[in-house]
Amino acid sequence: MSRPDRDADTLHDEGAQAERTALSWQRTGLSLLGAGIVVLHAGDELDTPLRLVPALLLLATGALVTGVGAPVRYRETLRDLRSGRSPVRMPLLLALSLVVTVSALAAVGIVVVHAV
Amino acid sequence: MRLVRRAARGDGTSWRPDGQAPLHQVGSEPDYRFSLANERTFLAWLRTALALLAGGVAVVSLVPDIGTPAIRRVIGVALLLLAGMVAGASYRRWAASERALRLERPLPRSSLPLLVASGVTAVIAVLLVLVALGT
Repeated sequence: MSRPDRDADTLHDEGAQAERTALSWQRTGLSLLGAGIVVLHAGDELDTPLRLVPALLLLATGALVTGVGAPVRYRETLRDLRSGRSPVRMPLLLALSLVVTVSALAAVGIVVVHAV
Repeated sequence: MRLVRRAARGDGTSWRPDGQAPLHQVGSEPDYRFSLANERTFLAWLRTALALLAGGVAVVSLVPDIGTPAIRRVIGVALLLLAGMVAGASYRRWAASERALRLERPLPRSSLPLLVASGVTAVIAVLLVLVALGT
């Protein structure tokens, strides 16, 4: 069996930067899922169908990030590093912070609405 | 907020509230390791926000015995608002740091560590008092 192209299987990932970033994404995805499950199972004040809005938002985003986002980001980052492109993806980060902000504010809204 | 329409400057700055150019137009490409480290830091702060979010929800609805429902609501809302602030500040910190990296300037100071530390400390102090009063 002929040896595959050396460049293709040489990992251009000094210091495992791409891998550590992917792991960071994985952890974030798991945190999203965890927070979503907590919101989903909240009783008392938040025991209203409205809580499904932040819960499903967090769970869906968590599932996407863990299942698709992290591995794709990893491969994409390696490709970028190999070709000298910037690995920065600003819209992705902005979207993620918006998901968390919106979910937190939605939960506040639900608590306040139910207290009044 | 100014209601006067700003003259178009043709460099992408007129539509931004802070008048700064879009990130990719500023400075030059930094070492990718710094950008990735910046991204990991952003994600770490976001995880902190998510933990605060879960904590806020837990205080309101999963902890029946501490204080009164009203007090738990206040603490819960405080944690949830903190979570929202951290999530927003995380992105701002990332953007400001990326900008500094591109301009080869020192990284800007972030208000996040102090914000989270004082917020969480305050909540823990209140909870401890409530637990002590309850026993």
